[in-house]
Amino acid sequence: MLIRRLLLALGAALAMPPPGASAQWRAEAEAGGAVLRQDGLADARAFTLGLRAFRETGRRSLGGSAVAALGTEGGWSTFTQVAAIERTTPGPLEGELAVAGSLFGLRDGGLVPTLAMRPRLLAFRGDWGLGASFEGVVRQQFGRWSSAAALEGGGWRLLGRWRVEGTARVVFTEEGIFRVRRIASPTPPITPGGPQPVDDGEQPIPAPGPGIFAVDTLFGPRRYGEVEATARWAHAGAELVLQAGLRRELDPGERWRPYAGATGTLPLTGRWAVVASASRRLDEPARGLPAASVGSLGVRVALGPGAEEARAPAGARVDLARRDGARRLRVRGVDGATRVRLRASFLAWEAVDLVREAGAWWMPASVPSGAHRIAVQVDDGAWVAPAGLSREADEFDGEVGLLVVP
Amino acid sequence: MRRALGPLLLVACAAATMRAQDAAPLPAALATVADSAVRAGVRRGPLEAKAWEGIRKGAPEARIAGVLREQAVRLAQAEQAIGARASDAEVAAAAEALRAGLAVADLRSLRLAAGEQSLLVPCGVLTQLLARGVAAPRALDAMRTLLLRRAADRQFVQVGSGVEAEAARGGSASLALDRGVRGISVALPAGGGGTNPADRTSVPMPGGR
Repeated sequence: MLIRRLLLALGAALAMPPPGASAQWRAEAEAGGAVLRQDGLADARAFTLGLRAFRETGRRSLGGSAVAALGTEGGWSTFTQVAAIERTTPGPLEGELAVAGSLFGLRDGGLVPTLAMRPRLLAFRGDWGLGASFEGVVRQQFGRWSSAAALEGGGWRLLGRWRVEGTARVVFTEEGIFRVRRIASPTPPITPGGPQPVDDGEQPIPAPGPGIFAVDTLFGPRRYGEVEATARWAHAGAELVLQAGLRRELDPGERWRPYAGATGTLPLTGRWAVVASASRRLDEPARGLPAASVGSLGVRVALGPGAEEARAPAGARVDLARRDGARRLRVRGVDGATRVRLRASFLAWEAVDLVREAGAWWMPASVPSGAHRIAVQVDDGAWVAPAGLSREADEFDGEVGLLVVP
Repeated sequence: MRRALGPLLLVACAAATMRAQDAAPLPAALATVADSAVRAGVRRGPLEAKAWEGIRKGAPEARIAGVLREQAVRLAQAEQAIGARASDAEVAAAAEALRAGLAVADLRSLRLAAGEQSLLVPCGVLTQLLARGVAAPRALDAMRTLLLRRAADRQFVQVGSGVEAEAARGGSASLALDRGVRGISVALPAGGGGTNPADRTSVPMPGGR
């Protein structure tokens, strides 16, 4: 169970980026550890290693991911996924079709293929929009197919650096089963809807050691509704995603059950970042996932073109502003600095000390029209591309920001 | 009076600084590489600017020499694609677009769409878009659309800034580009044609050819 749940948790983190995400192609590798907690079972831990690659060409996106997990209890498993998105011509109303196929391989559990298809309709209105989708999922294990369908609708709005999204969905599933091997409590309690130790019958699974059980999670036919809110903040490579929701079975007498999760990415230097997540999830019968609490911590390294994304110190931002009648470069977001320097293509890359005036740092000369490359240095630190500008690697192992002045 | 003279003095200081750097000789090894390329027809200004970039950034001479040779090839390709009448800055911007992933044929198509209009700002914005991860065909199509509709430089910059703002907020650069081009296109006349490559034949050739 550990491996299965962890892989899907990581699978979500490594899944396809949103449509139109800014990359021609990009790859990332991630290594870390995770802890999973389920009712009635001992906590479990695993080491994880993941690789993801993604390419966007015009209106098509294609991506793949592979994750391997090694549980401290001796289990292991792998998860591979390929997904493709095809979009219609961009406009106020856009359509897209996403198809994803995955294979789950785990010790003693065989291969579990899953195929999901999701057509989606999106309406853009400036800094907000609406969307609606249908998703169909089929999954096979132990020679038995099960299916699920979900209808979803929602909207989003951009608020500064935040993207806030609200979603409502209804999910219908057939009955299903998923088996993993887990360390269980000496006498695993049997709770309705929870992990059930069962006798395999036709395919007995030998117990590799004391306290290790084959655990099947059984899902009956389900109908439930969810309302969910997601807030995403991103700035200079850092990212925070908060999610919370409520679920209620569509049967009389049922009550709302909450779930929540948070994921954070903190850029270190160059192409490295720390990724952490914590969540309390309800079961996902469509994908055979039981309810669990998961915490993970890992290190991610970006590969491929554009991966070198060194960050400007503490949000040093460059823009153009008029001062003393001239169009001058201004650096903000470095209030505590004692010295800020700038070098640029239009200055033949000679470093220029900026002057502190009116709460910002100003270049003591006007900026000519043209396509310029610039870098800033704060308190004799590294030369980096300012935040907020497109950046590219130069030919001398550095990076520069791109500024075009009409 | 002080306020009026301030910006003039600043501009004069900057210009003097740049002239002094332009006049400084390159180290002998780099000068040899540059002279060789110039004799082959490559423009000296943008080539030496690349050399100075390496020098100011403290790169070893051998590395700079290698970069200069590559830059010479790109500058020659860029000039051939966008025309000998282009300014040094224009050719340099086109060469940087090549380095960012554009093809020489793409530059030619931009020139066809631009007619006599300078490609300095369009190439700069195009490089920005590529750096933001917009797919090259998509970025090229957007720039060509704006050129065909005779968009002003500030409108190119407006599109680029919109993409950067959207990307900084975590949104889609590609979709922001499409929205930006659409927003500007509706305010412009139809110009020399649409985005269909077949329309390019109706665009005046550089120099009225």
